[in-house]
Amino acid sequence: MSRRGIAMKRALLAAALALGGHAFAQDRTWAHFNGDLRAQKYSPLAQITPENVKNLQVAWRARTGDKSDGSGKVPATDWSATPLFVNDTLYLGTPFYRIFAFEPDSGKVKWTYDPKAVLEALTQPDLKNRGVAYWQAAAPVIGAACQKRVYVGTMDAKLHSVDADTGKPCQDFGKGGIVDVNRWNTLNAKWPLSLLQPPTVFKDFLFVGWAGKDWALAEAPPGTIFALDARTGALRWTFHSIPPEIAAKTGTANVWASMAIDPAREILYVPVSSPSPNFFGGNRLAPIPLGTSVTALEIATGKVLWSRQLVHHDLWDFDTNAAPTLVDITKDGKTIPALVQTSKQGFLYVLDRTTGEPIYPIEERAVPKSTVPGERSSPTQPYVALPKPVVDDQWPGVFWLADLASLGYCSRKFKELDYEGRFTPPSLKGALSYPATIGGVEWGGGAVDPAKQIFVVNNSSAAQIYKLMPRKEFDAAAKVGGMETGGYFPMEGSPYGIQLTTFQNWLGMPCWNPPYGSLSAYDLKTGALLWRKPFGQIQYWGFYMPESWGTITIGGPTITASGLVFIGGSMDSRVRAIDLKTGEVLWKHLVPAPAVALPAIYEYRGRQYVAFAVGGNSILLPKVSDEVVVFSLPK
Amino acid sequence: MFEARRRRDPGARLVSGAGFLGAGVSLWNYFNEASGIAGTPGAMLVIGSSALLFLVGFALRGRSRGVLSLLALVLILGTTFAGWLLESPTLLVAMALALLGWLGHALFRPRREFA
Repeated sequence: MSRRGIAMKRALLAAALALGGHAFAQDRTWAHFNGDLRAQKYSPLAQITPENVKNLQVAWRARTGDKSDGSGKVPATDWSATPLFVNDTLYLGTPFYRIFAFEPDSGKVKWTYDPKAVLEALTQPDLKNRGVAYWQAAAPVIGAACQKRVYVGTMDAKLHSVDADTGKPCQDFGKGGIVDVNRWNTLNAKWPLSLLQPPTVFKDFLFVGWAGKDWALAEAPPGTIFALDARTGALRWTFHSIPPEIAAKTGTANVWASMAIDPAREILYVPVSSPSPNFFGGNRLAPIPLGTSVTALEIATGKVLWSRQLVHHDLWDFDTNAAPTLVDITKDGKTIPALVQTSKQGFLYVLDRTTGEPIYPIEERAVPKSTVPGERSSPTQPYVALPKPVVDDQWPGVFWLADLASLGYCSRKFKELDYEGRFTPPSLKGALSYPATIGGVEWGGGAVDPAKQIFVVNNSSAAQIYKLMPRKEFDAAAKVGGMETGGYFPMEGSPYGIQLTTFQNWLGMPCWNPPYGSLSAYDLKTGALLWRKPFGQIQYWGFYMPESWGTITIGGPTITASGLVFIGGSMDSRVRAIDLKTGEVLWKHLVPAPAVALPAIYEYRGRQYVAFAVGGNSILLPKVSDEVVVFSLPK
Repeated sequence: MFEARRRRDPGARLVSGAGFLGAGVSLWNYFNEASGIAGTPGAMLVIGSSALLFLVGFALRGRSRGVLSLLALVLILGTTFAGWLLESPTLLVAMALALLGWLGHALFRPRREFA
């Protein structure tokens, strides 16, 4: 190559870095939780194809040692960490909040970092980790440490920053490489702001959300996002989701899931969860417009550019729980900068990401009224008909086999429950919620092929019973049934506690008709459903149920340019490759536990790899693992 | 003479052997994390049913005991169904062998009256 050519190449590289703002154009890397900042979960790699995927084999596997089944002093672990491939290294955070740096082709450990984190369930019932974040300086100082960094958060709200090459703490970040995010937890500070989701990184910003303790309190820490300086940890700005005049009376509406960024427009998109207490709103009757919303913030300042509330006065814990997927849609000959927001309530909201206006209509529909004293439910809720919801409007009816096995318990119980379709509010008698708080779609969200404009998403179809109980009655029942473990959640500070149970018979069989989980593909140009297939298999006592039943799913898909969808997320501890065109399973492989983490797809030294963190999730199965399993084609 | 024929009852021997194989395979599945059914009640169940089949097959040799024969068939079919739900192909092969053995025993076993 000529000097001019080399100079040109360098200039292009510099320009790409500058334009990307460390966004890592979708290439051979997987540098962010969702693959890239736009949360597309898409890889342009095409070495593994629908034709050769059947030959996929384990390239390497490694164990971290960081797992617990909860039988001892350490709580059970849920490992949902997306592996990051960047800086020629595969980085992983563990449920013990350690960081592992692996060689990407062999699994040999380069270094580990141990934050000596408190291993207690301070907020969530399990030790959870959804991984690490990566940053690198736009103009690195050669020879200086911490020009590339990896961040991990902990259950007790400590954010650690270490050098990506050595694993040594970056001393200029906070105090000795640690920022205590909990120092900004100043209102209703009943528990720490758990940092289970890695920060979202853009330019020299870290955007930090947090998780709390679900269903425990009426008055809780109010939802905030902290924008920190990636080098020093200094607070640049804060976003508050709850109006200050009512913040003390309620709480949460936090951002506990991943976020998305439009690098060109410098907009941060955040999925805002529901306010507390989650199933009764009598103490939060004043509007909380940003609660259960997707909200766009100006990156430089945190100013709200627009927000769309997806559930008014949320009484179902329908947290907006996944980063919206940003993609340009060609519709009626026009290219529209869009986003697709998945939801627990089963709707897919396709919005213009510059304005928040719907691309496919959203209408306000009348919904059932709450009969609970002190409650004032919203008379209408936003309803999306197109794209077709991932969960149907009406619950699928009593499953004859579960009913038979329980001598008619399922049908008898159903007759006792309040049920008036989607958005039936919790009641004193017990209300059937379908879809329920476990989804719909969970925090994994969906993936998009930006060229074909096909969106793929996995979902659960679950029915739960929400029974509000006056305080005295609740306290007596919880004493017998068991707080939390027995399905009783106090919502202290409100006049009611809640009994939340999955609608199943004494054998643990779901009382509603299958499928219990599906995988769907949509054409975003028209909103049409291309295909929908039952996804995964239920495994109970080791027995696999029919494929047509599907399974509750947690996690999400990734798509490759060759037309493959890679996904774990099922109860049956299998990872799969699926044909994007047809939904047909082309390859599957057994792993030690449900692989609920998003898979990472990367290329290193000419080989394409698919990496799964296999850790399990207690919602699916009491089965844990500490293994990362990486697949590739034979050499 | 009957004792000699009893020992030769190849059908019952196959049932017994297949039960032994089934129990071995299921034990391996129970303790091997890569089996997908390690540590599950389902795997434990087929260890028990296969082991019982081994014993029943042993007791069946040269005999035409109706109850034992019926028990063997129930064990074979039940373990086959469980093996299918557990997605354990080796256990299915073992039970296919057991069924062949049971058929052999039922159709060709040495009759006491001929002894």
